[in-house]
Amino acid sequence: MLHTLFLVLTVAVHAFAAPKVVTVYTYDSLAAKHSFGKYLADELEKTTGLKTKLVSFSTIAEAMQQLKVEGKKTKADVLWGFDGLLLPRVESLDVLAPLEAKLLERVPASLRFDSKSAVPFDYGYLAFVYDSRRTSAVTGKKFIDWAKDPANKRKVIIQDPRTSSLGQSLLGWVGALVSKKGYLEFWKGFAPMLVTVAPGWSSAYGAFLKKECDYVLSYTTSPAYHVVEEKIDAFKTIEFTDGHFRQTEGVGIVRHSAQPALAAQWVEALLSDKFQAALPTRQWMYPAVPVKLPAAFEKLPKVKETPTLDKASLEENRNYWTSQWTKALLAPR
Amino acid sequence: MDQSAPRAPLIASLVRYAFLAPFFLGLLLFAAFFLIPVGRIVATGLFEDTLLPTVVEGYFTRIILFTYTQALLSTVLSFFVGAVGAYLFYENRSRRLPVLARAGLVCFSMPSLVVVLAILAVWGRSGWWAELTGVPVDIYGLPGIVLANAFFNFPLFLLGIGAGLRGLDRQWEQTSLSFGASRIRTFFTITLRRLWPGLRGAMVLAFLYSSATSFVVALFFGGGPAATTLEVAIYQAMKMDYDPALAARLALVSLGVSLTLYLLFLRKEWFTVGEEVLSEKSLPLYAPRTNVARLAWWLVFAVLFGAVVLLPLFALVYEGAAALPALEGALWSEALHHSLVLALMASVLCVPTALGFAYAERLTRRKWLRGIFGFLPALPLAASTLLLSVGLLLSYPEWMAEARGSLWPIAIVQALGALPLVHRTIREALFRVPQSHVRTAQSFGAMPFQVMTRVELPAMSDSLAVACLIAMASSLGEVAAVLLFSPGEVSTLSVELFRAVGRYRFQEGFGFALILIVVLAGLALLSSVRSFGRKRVTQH
Amino acid sequence: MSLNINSLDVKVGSFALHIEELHVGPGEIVGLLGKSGSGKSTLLTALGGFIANTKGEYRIDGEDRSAFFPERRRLAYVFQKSSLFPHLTLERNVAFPMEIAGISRAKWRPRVRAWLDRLGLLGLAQRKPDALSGGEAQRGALARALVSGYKVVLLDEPFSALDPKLRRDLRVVVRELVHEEKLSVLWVTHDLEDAMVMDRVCILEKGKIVWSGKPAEIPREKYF
Repeated sequence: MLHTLFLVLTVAVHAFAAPKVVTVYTYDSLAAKHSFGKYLADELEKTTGLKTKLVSFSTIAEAMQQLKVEGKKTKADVLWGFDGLLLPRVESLDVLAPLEAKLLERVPASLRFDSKSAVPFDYGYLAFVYDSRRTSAVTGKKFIDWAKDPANKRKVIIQDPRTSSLGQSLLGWVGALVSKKGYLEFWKGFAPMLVTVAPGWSSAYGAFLKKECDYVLSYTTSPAYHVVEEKIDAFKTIEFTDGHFRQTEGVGIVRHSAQPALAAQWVEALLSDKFQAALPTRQWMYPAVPVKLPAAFEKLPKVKETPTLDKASLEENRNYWTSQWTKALLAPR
Repeated sequence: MDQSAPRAPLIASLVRYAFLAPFFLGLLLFAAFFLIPVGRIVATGLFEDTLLPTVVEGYFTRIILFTYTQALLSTVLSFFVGAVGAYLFYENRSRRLPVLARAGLVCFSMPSLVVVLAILAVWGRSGWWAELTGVPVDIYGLPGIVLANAFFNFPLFLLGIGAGLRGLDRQWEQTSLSFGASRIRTFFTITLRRLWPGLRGAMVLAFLYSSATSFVVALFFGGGPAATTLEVAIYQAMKMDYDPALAARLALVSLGVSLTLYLLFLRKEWFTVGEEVLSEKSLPLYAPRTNVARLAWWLVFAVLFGAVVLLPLFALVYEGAAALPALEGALWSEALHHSLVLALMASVLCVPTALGFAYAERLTRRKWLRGIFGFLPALPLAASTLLLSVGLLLSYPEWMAEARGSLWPIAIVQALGALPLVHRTIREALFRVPQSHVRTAQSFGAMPFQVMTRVELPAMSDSLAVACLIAMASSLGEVAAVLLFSPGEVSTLSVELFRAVGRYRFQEGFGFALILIVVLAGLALLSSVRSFGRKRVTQH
Repeated sequence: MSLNINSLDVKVGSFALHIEELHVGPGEIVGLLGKSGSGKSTLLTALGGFIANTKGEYRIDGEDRSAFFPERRRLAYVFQKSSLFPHLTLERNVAFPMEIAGISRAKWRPRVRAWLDRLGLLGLAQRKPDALSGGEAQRGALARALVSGYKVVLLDEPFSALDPKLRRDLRVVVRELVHEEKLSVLWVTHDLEDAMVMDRVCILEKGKIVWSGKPAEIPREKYF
């Protein structure tokens, strides 16, 4: 009797008194002050009363690991910000629940993941950025040709795939363009063009701004930052005729979430026109849902072709690519 | 009448040493937050299967060779910068040496990312040097790595050698000279031998720090697989390949090297911050005799110190100053606030823990136990925050989820990071308090607690100040632990620095670095107040 | 007050010290002489309670204190050097035993001043030890031992670092103080001159008392 009463009370308290809070596991730059995540959390609470608890990890891989370890006891509702390349890993950990079709279908078919439990919320194209004030424009080239052009000797900085997700994406980009056999050859050809291999985006881009290199691996959207925030129109990206690899970031609902409906509501908000429109100038990426873009983004060159990888080849080749990359760069340049 | 003579020595001893309880709480923290998580990973490494990635043959041998080659070369350059500095300042009988050594901790705890960019600003392909002279420079490869590591680690030599020089009584050298030995011979046969403990300790620590510091430096300047250090391999195994077993095996290698070095070189003293006062007996013996020689020495120092330390530091200040007005006041003042609070918490945790280890080592009679108490606090050098974070996650998953956003876990992990150096500093000072002082105090009725507060701690006050400074400095420059536990709410200067840079705002990053420099320099000066007050040479 | 030692055994590594019987009465100075390594200082250290492997008993005024913690043995030490705490002024060094006993500054001050005055140190009260000469420092250490009010005083070569003239003066000072204060003094030295102000002398060799008697009767040719 007493037990029942207690149960009823508990339920009642939960139903009426507890504020609605969605707990989101993500990585630091989506949760820090001035981040898109913080903006989203504040706006959402203001307009709908739905609270967001952003729990950040130093990398999203760590958040995934935490989810796995917590299992059924987790307090998390949403996993936010994993790279598309990590999808096989997310799936093998089995930490996400299938999403409703209406969420999956918010984004255009061409962007969707090969998965029922993850949906993209933003994306960017990998590109080599240059400063047109000191480097002359490159046009009409394929990436694979540009990469072995001796004119670029010691002019490029890329990121290390062993420590940077951008570096991993570059491995994927090359993997989508060249055959397995040609992989080592490509990197042997590209290696002499490198000034250095930076541990991450920040040191690479920082070195580029210090004029250490002519070209740095970043995103097609990078020039938009300099236009919007610094009013400098000099930064450009090389437009390759064989296309640009797309890095897509996804979101999913945690399998053991105690409140999947709220979680779905949160993901829906993230994919709403309002927040998708607010994403570009906060995250410097393209929104996954087609919305009106800021002027600086509209002016960016349109990427026509996107070399893609299927999940199977990704899983199969990741280690192979890394080892071939290692081998090629270990050889004396 | 027997007035409660301790007939039950065990219980009486427990009561007598009960005041050490807070210290032993520190030891417990150490066990819970370091030994268990790291032990868990190591166990994983030993007993679980790993998919050794099919990388190039000899890859791992290469990694280990590279890691320790670069550490060795970095140690050599740090030595030259520190040794020449210590020599000149000492021979000029300057009281500024300890101040310089403490100010050096500014460099010791700068986040590596901005140091890389600052070095590029000076020595990059389009850096100041290249622009001014037109002579192209290429610091990629070992030169850049060694330069950056020397920037971080030269203060260790200033502390080690400087303290040795200050406490040196020159009677033996004078005797040697009076019997006709040359200065060079005297230096090598007498002076060097007496400086050796401090020198050796500084070398081992510089070596360990160079091999275990953040991989940003090695990777950036080394460029790719050729410059892979153990840290990179561990990071890759943890975060990219999700292979904790491999990471654990790599960590075991690094633990093994640290243990070996410790057993070989570090078991004895490192340095004591000179409690002794310069006296007439310790007048300089090796001062340059001619003006030309003096000029030459200063020139060597200026070149070394300028190239490795001052110019990059100046680049940081220069770029940061430009960004300061644009920094958002609310953001940096909050970051500053959090940074200082965390630094204080870290030193409050770290210094008593280090004291606890030092006391435990001194109080125990068993040799092997003494060895363990001496070595344990050096371990965090060999296990990075990265390794620790995964260990914590595996060991306390639920707690890790709860602890996010709280400052204490961050402070604990930061305190662990500072423990090796802080412990060395405190241990040497404690062991140098003369036994006769302790015994005299006890015989006059002082309980062990009173001996500590009235005799030992006051006698160690300089070293304690340096220990606090080291703990605070390393907390201020730390990023990994903050990111590990903070849900974006805790912002410290170094974390905001990274965040700003991550949002393309490089200038702003330098601004945060400048505030960090000012804070660290301020703390260094504050801890040196007493040194300023002393006379240069005490007259009798 | 008196000090009595009965069959005391001390072991330090392979070195063993055995004292069958030793008695120091009030107002008496007993000297311990012997070559280095004979166990003189070891005995003082053991009496202080600083050597774990000590058996046997010693009594102060009949009370066996051999199992007491060092801080409860009430023995006043004066070491050869490093005796004064470097971070305290001479005055506070001398006041140390009273500060430990919880006596307030207002209360200890006159007493400390009186002793400093008596030993000719009053003008140096505010100096730190590194600004004192060796003789001044040792007189300070003596003052501290006397201020403690302990009646058993252990001197471990207190004046051996000083020049002969100073040593002579200080010996006389000690002699007078011992008589006036009725102290029991055990004095370790290797200086035969020191022995001249002692009431009795024990010569130690390899951890045993091999001779004891009046200082004037020391068989110099045999032991020195």
